Amino acid sequence: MSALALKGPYWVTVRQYRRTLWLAVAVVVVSLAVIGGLRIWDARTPDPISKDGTWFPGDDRAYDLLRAALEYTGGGMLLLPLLVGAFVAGPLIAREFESGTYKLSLTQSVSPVAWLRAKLLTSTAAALLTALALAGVFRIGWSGLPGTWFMKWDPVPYAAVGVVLFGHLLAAVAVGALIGLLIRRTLVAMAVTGVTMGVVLAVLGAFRWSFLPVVTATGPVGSNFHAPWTA
Amino acid sequence: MVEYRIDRRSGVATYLQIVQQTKQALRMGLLEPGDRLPTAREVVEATAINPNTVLKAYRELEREGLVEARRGLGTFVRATLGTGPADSPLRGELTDWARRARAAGLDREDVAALFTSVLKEHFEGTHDRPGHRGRGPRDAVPTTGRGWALRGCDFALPAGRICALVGPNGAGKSTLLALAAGLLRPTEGTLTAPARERLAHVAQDKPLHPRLSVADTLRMGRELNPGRWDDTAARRVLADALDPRALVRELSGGQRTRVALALALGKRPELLLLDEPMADLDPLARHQLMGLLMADAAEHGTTVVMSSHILTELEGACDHLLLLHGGRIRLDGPVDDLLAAHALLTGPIADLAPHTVVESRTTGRQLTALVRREGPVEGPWETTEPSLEDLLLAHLRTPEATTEGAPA
Repeated sequence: MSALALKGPYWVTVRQYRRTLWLAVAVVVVSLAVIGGLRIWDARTPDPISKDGTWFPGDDRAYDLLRAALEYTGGGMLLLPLLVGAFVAGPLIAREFESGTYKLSLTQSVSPVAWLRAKLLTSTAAALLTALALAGVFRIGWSGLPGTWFMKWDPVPYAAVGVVLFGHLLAAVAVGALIGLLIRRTLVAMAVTGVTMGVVLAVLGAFRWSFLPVVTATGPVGSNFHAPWTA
Repeated sequence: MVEYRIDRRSGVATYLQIVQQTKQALRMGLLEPGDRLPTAREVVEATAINPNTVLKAYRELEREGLVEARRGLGTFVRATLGTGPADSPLRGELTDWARRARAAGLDREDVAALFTSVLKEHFEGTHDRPGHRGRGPRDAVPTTGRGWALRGCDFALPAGRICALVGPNGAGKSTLLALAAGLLRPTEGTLTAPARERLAHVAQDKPLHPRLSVADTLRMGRELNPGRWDDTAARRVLADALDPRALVRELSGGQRTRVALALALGKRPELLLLDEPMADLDPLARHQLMGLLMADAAEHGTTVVMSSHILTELEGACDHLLLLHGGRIRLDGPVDDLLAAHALLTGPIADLAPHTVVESRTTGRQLTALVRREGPVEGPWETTEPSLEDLLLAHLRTPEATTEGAPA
């Protein structure tokens, strides 16, 4: 952190929320360890092949765990905007008003606008970087893994990993900041932001697929065609 | 070098105490021509009085020709006061008299009482008589015309003053200070105050970030006040009394006050707004921090507005008074002028017109009243100049006294 040579209110924000930032790094590292470990384990236990090319079922534990982990991660990433929004609303903004430290922050030589800007930019940058790292971990998890091609387009992972996630995070920061400024009580602001973002995510998730009309395309079948699994 | 001892409870003005003690030191030979008197900063740091008082005393001594101020070097002693040569005839007569008094059976208290009455009769000084306080030479401090409005009242605070903001709980002192600091916006009216770079505000709860360490808090001050931060000034307030790695939430109330004051003084403000700064400090810490504040004001000419309930402290340190009662300004002016403009009357019950009565009490046949003079007081009462405490308590006791508009 010190190598970044931050100045002014940016230094203050990072220093104040050191623990949260380290927590985010820890989450990324742990998830990388888990997913990476499971993939390595899975690679070590391939299904045995007999001499004439038939596959036998082998030790599938790693594969099953990995799929379960990826599904849960995908779902968990949906919660990330809620957490970020609640953090911005509560500890970042509303707590300054509730504890009275705004009287300290607003009588220094930085204007209130600069103070707010530093807080929001720092939290947005941290949230986006964490999301990027977690999305990377997720991709490490399912790339090249048989039976997970759907994870790119299924509704839940689509909203959880990808550009949509970044959009949600930006919205969460904005909504959290607004609610934190209006409701100057930490816990209430956190709860209200969580609920608001939850509603926003649910509504968007339900109506996303109706934003554009469905297009039916017809074309020849190529050599890479895989019939969808209909079991 | 001489060290001054200020007695806040005596009826003698603080600056006169300094003058008298200097003269005493000269008489006793503790100060000789060429010696340097302590700087205003040194005196104020040790005694926690107002620096303007020290300057006033030194000017008085200069006028009497006893000291001279040399630019950039300090104030130096110029002349001596003779006790008279040791073998003057008066001294011999006095020693004889003392022997005869002891033989006649007079003890120490009798002699002291005798001397006091003789002194009073023949050596009545123009300074010690009440009613002359405040009519000394005026300090040439310019008024800057800054005005703050609170519920329709205007007042202006001259720069370089130490102002006491007094009032009962709920009078609006914290609101006034928050308005001045720019934390609140007035719902109606205008407010003129320095920009947030040039002022510092310490709220009543001494807000600090609990998870930062003391060193981090000072670093925060440096980061948030680029170009204006003075690390030595901040560290001087801490005075090595605190472990820089201690977290703020582990500190006691007094230590938090120190850190909050360090943050405020490190900013090198022109205007310092303090909301009950000494409320939770032990007497020694209070004295030290008051001394530090006064020393800083002496060095940089900071204007200090301090709200407090501890009147004895304010009496020595503050030279401007603002009394807030029920959201209105009741008193506004230099302390000396205000005290000179009021009179404490005790005597038989009689009509107090044309003086404005602030508070009056009758017990049996006796009347005690605190009035604002409208001209000389003529009547059957005994007149004394009230102390700051008398004045403030009298104003606070009357719920709806007429507003004291213009200062003395």
